[in-house]
Amino acid sequence: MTDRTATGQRVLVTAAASRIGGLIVAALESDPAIETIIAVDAEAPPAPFQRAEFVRLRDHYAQLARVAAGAAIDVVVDVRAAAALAPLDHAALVDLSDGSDRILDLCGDPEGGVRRLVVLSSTHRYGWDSDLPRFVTEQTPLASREGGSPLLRALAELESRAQAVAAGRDELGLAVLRTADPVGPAGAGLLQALDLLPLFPTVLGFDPPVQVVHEDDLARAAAHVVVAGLDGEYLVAADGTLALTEALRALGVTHAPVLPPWGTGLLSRLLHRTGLRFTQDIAGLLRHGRGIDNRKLKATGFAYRSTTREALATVVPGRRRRLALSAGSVPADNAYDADVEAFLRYSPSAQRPEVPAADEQRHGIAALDADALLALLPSLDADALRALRAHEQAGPRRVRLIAEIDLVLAER
Amino acid sequence: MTRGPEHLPVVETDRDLDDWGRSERLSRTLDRTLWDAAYKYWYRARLEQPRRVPATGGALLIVNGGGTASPVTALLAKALREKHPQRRDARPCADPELLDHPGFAVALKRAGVVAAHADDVRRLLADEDELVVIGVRTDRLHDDAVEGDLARHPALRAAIEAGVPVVPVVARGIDDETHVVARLPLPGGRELPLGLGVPALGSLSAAALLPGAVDLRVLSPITPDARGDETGETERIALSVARRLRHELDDMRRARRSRWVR
Repeated sequence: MTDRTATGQRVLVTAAASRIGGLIVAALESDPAIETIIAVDAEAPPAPFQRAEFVRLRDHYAQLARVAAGAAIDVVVDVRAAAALAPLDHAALVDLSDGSDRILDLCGDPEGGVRRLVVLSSTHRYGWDSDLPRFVTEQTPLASREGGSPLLRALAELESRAQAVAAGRDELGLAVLRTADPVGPAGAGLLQALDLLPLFPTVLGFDPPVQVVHEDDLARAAAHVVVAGLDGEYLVAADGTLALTEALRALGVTHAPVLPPWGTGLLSRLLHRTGLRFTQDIAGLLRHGRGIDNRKLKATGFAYRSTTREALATVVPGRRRRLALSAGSVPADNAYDADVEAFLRYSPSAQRPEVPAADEQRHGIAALDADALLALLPSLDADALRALRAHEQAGPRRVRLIAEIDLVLAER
Repeated sequence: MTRGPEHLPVVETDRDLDDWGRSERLSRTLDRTLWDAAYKYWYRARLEQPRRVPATGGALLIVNGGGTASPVTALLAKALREKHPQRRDARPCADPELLDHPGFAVALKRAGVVAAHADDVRRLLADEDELVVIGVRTDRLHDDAVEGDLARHPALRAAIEAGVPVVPVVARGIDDETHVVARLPLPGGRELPLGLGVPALGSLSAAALLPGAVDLRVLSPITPDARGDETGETERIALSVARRLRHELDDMRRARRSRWVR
C-alpha cells in the first residue's frame, strides 16, 4: 500500500453518466480529501452532480488528454467496464478498447501528471472453470482468454493493457478492482439476464454459489481505493455467498431446474452463434457459480454496508428497473442541462447555494440512514413522498433515495 | 494487510445455508437419523483417544478406508460429534470431480462436504478453525502409492501451508467387512470394486456394506514445520502418516477376533 492519502487529489472519472459512474462520483464528492472531480462520458448524465464538473467527450474520449491536462488530473478512475456490466450493455463492452487507447495514452505519458490509474474490472475475469476454488481470491489464477467468452476477453484486454502501461511507467500506480456483479436499480448483472423469461431456468442437479455487491458499496469501495491510495488487485463483493436458488428467492424470481445437467456449454455456444449475448457466462453462472473472498479490501479498512442477501433485496423487479433506466425517469426540473449548469456554476449573476457542512447535513431526516428510509417509502402516501423528495433535493441530495422516491411515485 | 480470520464474512444466523453451502437443517437431520443409525447400529463404531484431536483451531484428519463410496469420513465426523470433549464438528472433504456431478453437487454440499481444493481447505483450516477430514484408500498406504496420492493431496498441502496439525486416524473394519471379489477397470485408470454388495451404486453402495464393528483410533497429531519447503514437508508428513496408519492398522487387525463381532 502506497501512502498517497494526502489531500488535494484531482480525480477524473470515466463513464460518469452511467448509474455506477454517477454513484462513484457522488462517493468521491462526499470525501473532502478529493479536491477536484472531473466526470467525463460520451453522454450527458441524467442529473447534475453536486461538486463534480461534467465534460462531455465524444469520439471515444478523443479530447481526454486536453481535459486531463487542463484540470491537472492525477488520478484516473476507469469505470467503463463496471458501467457496462450492471445493465449488461454488450455494445459498450465491445467498445471498451476504443476508449482504452486514449485513457492509457494519458496514463502512460511520462510527461503527463497522472500518477494513479484505478480500473474497475469484474470477477468474471476468473472465468467459470470447474477447477476454481469455491472462493476466488486475488491470488487465484486468471482464466485464459483463449476460448473464453467475449466478456472475459474484453476484461482480459482491459486489465492487461492497463498493467502493461503501469509496468512501463514506474511512477504510475495501478489498482484493479474486480467487482462482483453490482446490483441495485440499475440491474443485477447476469442474474437479470433471464428475467424477461416467465421462469428462470436453472440446471438440474446444481445449485451454484452466487455473490454480488450493492452498487452503493461498489461506489464507496472505489472511492476508498482512491482516497486511501491503494495499489494492487482487490476483489469487491458483499459478505455472504448464497446458493443460486437463495439468490433467486431474494430477488423474488420464479425458478425451476429445467435445463439438463449435461451439454450446457454446447448449448450456450450454439445460442451465442445465434446472436444471444452473454450465453457462455450465463451457463457458467448456472452450472458453476462463484464465491468471492473479499477480505483483502476489508483489511484496508473498508466496511461493506450490505450483505449479498440485503443487496439483492434492494433490486427492483424488471418492470420497475426498466422504468428507472428509461429516458425521462429523472424529472425535468432536475435533469442535467449543460447550459443551465454552466450558468449556475460560472455566471456572476448566479447565487450559488451554500453547501451545508457535513455535520449540518446529519440533522433531521438526513440523519436517518438511506436504507432505513428506503424501507419506509412504500408506506408513505404520495404527498409525504413528494415532501421527502423536496427535502432530499434541498438538503442531503442522496441520489439513490431520490431515484427510489421517483420510482415509487411513478408507480402510483 | 492480510486476509485474516478477523475479516471473514458476517454470519447471517437466520440463513439455513452457510457460505460453503452446508444446510444446518439437513446436517442436523442426517446426524440424528442416517449417521446416528450408521454410527450406533450398523457399524457400531468406537472412537479411541478422541482427546488427541485438538480442542480448538484447525486440524486435518486423515483416515484410512476412504474411497468414492466410503462412509468413513462421515462416520469419523459423527464420532467426533459424539465423543470429542468439545463435540467438534468436522467437514468431510471430497474429490472436486465428485462434487461436479449433478445431484451430488447439491446433496453433498448441503450435507457439509467440501471440495478438496487447496485454497478452500486452507481457508477452513487456518481462518475458520475447522476440522477437515480426508479419507485415503487402505490399499494405497504403501510408500510408492503415497508419493502419487497422499503427498499430492491438495488438503494435505493446504494443512502444511496453514501450519495446522495433521492427525492420522486408523479405521479398522470399515473397508474389509465386505469382501471385494473383483475390480472392474474403468477409464482413467480407476477401478470399480465389486463386492458382496455389487454392483456399487456410487455413494448408495455404502448402504450395501455389511454391518460391522468399526474401531476408529486417533493417533498423535503431527505438527508441520515446513520452513519454506512445503513440498518436501508435505511428502515427509504424507509418508509418516501412511506408515503410522499402516502399522497401527496391522496391529489392530491382528488383535481382532472377528470382523463383525467385538
